[in-house]
Amino acid sequence: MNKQWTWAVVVLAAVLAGCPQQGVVCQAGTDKCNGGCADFSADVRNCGACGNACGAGQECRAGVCGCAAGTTSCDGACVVTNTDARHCGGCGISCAPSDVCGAELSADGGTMASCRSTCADGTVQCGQGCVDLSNDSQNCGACGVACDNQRSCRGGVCSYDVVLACSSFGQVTGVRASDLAAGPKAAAGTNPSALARYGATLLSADYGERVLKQFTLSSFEALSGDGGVTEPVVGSVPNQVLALPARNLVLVVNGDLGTLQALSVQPSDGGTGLQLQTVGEVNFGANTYPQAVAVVGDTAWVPLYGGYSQETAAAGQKVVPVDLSNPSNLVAGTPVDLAGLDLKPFSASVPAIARPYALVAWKGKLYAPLNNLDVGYQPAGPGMVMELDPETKVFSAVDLGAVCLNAAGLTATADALYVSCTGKVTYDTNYVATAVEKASVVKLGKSGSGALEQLAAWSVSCPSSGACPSPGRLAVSGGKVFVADQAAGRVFVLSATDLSEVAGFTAGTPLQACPAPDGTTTFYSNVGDVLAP
Amino acid sequence: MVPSLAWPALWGWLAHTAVPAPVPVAAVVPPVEVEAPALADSAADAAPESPLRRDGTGQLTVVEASTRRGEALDVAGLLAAVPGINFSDAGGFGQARRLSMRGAASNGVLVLLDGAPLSLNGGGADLSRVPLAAVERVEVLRGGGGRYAPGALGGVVNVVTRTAARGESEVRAGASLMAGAFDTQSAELHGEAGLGGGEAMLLLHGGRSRGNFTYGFDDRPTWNGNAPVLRERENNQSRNGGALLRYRREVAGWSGDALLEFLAEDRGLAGTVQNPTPDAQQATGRLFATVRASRLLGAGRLLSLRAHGMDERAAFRGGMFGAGLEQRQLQAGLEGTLELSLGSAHQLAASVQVGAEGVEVSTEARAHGWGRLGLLLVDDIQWGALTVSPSVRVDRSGPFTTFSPKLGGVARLPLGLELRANVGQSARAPSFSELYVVQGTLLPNAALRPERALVADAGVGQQLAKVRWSVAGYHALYEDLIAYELYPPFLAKPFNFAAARAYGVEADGEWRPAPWLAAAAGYTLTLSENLRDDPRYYGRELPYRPRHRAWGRVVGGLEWLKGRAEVLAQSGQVVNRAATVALPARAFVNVGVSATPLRGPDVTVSAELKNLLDVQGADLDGYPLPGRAAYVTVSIALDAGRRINEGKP
Repeated sequence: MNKQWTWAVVVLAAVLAGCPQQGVVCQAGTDKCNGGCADFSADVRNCGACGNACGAGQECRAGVCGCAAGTTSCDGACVVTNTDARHCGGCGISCAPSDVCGAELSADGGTMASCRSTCADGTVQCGQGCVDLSNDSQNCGACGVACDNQRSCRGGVCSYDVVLACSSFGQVTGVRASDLAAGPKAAAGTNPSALARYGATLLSADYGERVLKQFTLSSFEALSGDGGVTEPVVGSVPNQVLALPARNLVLVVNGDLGTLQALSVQPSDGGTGLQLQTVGEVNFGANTYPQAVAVVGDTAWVPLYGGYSQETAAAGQKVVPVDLSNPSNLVAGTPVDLAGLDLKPFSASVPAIARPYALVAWKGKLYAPLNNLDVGYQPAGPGMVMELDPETKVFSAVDLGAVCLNAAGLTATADALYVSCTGKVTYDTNYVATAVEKASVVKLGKSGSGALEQLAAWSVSCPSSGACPSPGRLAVSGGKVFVADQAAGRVFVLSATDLSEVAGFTAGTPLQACPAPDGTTTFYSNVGDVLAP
Repeated sequence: MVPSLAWPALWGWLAHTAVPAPVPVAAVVPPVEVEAPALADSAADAAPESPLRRDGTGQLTVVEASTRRGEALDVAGLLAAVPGINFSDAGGFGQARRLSMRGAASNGVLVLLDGAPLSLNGGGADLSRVPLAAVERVEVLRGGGGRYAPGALGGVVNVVTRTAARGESEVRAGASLMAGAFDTQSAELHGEAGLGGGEAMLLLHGGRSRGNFTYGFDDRPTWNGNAPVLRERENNQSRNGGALLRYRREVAGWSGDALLEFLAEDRGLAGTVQNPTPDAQQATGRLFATVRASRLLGAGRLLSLRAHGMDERAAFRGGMFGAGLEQRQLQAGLEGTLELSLGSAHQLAASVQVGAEGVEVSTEARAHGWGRLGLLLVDDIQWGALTVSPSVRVDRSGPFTTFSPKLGGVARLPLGLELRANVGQSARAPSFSELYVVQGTLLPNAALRPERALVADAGVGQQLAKVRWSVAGYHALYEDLIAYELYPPFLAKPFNFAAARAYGVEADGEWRPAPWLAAAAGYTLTLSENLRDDPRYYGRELPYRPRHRAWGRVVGGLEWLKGRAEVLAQSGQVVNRAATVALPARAFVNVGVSATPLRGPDVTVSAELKNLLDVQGADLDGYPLPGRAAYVTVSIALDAGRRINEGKP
């Protein structure tokens, strides 16, 4: 041995060790761009590559610039032939300098544009075009204000029809319901898990940061946090945010804390964002895990999911009324104990636990999907929906039939309830789902007798390749049902009428709202919430 | 919906700057010391796997258990003032205590019992399962674990158990009883005697606690101004008992040492204060054995052989474990080390380790196991006052091969000054649990890669007649860190997370102005940064690494009556990867007094008041630490040579 040995070791160490790679890694679906991350697939300012901006009237779809929905390519430009005086009603049809281009309903129900001397009632003149500022995506709210990035003009504001929360990756994505075009993935805190609309503000309860964040509803620009309004503290499991603008109130259900939180709302001094302040909070007790909230009259109703074990599960399985008449002094009333429900257990020796997972108020009553699980979190009975009369406290449960296990999500329209069923999941040794039984969406309506009846159902199972589905929260917009996949960052789209598949495994492809970074099978990518603002 | 689920450097008693002793082998004696009786022969007496001998250029601290008997309630209490260590304490006697070092998580610290690993694949050992009564000293190597089995990313903690008396004719015995707050009691009984031409020692120990301390609970935490309500911690009880049997004998030129340890423990798993788990229980049983033999093979050649084995069974029930989970961890290994003295200024040590380990889980259809092989070569070369120690280690653990080079150096300067510096790499293969085992709500991930750490440190220290001090700085780069992420809806799963760094300063000092008075203090600065991640987390501080930890202690009095007071303070620590949620800063004040009114046998009475100011703290989110608590310990020692609390104040 000599000194050369020593130095050989040093050289070997230097060669073999090496420093780890460092730097920002963009979330799945985004790439590095100008010091940040951008969605090259849908960002009109970075379409296909960083800094590659699309032209006027164009939008970015699958990384390629093209004419936006509602526009037509004329001489290389994307124009709206209903309002463009140079291409009024068709390419090359120009109006006289003194005329304007406007559209009116045609006999077949469409629109027909023509040159005219003045704009029709209900429209205003922008340049030489007659537009409806409430819904014109090129003149939204004011002349020349174009809605980019797949937004629609709704009530004079550029916004999305559906907003998806990618909880795993700290993003939100907007979707245009008419053609299912998704906007660019936008950074939105750390783990957005529950969304709500309050006026022009998107509220997002973030479980990673444990705060209630605010973004513009139209473009997801941050309004709170650094440089913005204060972000109130919430729990680490903020299961639902419910905005009540008529009461100047926001409610947050904190699963981990076992509380319902009431926040007062005031517009901020600068008119950007809301001044939110927690004014009251009620604790339902340990291991109650409240999941949701629905309001009927002056009462908020909160379903309690219960703790993990058989013993602590008993703290839940209730629906608790909370008097909202004085938000600074929230008081829980006598709970409605669901112990009497017939959960139709598959085995007499395996007790079923109801585990109410959501709550909506519909047609004067309250409805909650029931997981109906055993203590090991396996389905112990059929997926069910509970109906509770808030006046009489009488409750019952409806079996969702052979298509549903583990009922989880629930939303309501004027005439129907839509329930998602997560199903029974089989995992491999790496805890990757290999089979899903009875995952579905069920549409319910009221029969003539007032009883709940099943109107339609959509079932889904594992695809031949790719991750198995896990239907979660859902929302209805533009005649479509948007169903969040809790497993692989997808969103299934169904017809709200008959639950036929619009975008899924058998028709079209699911929306890739927040794709997992490694190909969707080993990393959970949870679409935590779906909002139809 | 996403229901969530839910680790963890203070001061040493003085890292002194020892001068290398002219021992036959292992010429580099590290600068160790604590507030303890001198350990002049510590390196020579230490086993080959001891950091004192294997990593003489490392930043080392040794804590003698005798300096804290009657004061520390457990091994974590013994190490509370060691620089570079951070504890995560689940709260209450017998509850889980895991340590982290230099920014590495608890599963990146290798905990050894007499040189043998206490957990599979290195880290994550629960120090509450190391009985304080069995401990003679704890050797702490901060950073640079490249000379140890995979798992020592942040450092190595080697717990050295009590040794049997030297000399056949000596008979020693002792007993100790402790009682205190929260219905806590513990007892130990030990005896040492010559037996069959060798020396034998038997230790019996046991303890229990209800752990039902009160804490302030904010039942409406999002609403400012809500006054906490007092609650009592439930299902926080613990019981433990065990035995340690040791036998030493010289036979035909071989020096043999056998150790058999048994531990049984059960405890309630209280859960978070928001959602306690009143029915969750954990029961653990462990059988641990080592047999070692060493022999001089001629001048400057020492051969050491060691065999070790462990069988640990744990059963979980209630809470999120549902109907129950039983887990059995088995490991066995052989190690051979040959140390060669190649002249007065050159030593070489080569070590080969072979072994196997496995785990069986009741919920798994098949057991998991693999073989292990480790090769280590350490060279110590002296040039005058400078010693340079390069080493290289290669390990194979199942399918994972890790490479751990290291280069360390010590320069001994006038005026008792000493400089030491190290640079190296260490790694940790994923554990069986992380790879294969479903543990309640924690899922495995068979696609995990090993973690890796590149560590550099440098320190300076000085020892004078009445003053000792040391300051060290370090920088560690971690790659492919393994961390659990939420796996909806209820679960968590481990993933490799690119890169992070931790850097900081560890300093301590002691001043003995008079024979009856000593004052010591220390400070650890830990800065950490996520170096490769998405924008949500990039550049953020790593969770559960408090930036500042400070410690101060004054001990004064006569040999038979001594009083002490100490302050343990740490800054707030973030608990989430976005570094937006933090546990508050805290400062615990502890005071105590020990009196030895009787000699021969020595009877010592110690009274300790922990957390004098009744500060509410927490190391883990939702797990409060006990408030003010008093404990009294009565000890009797039938041997004057090893008196409890003997020596300097």
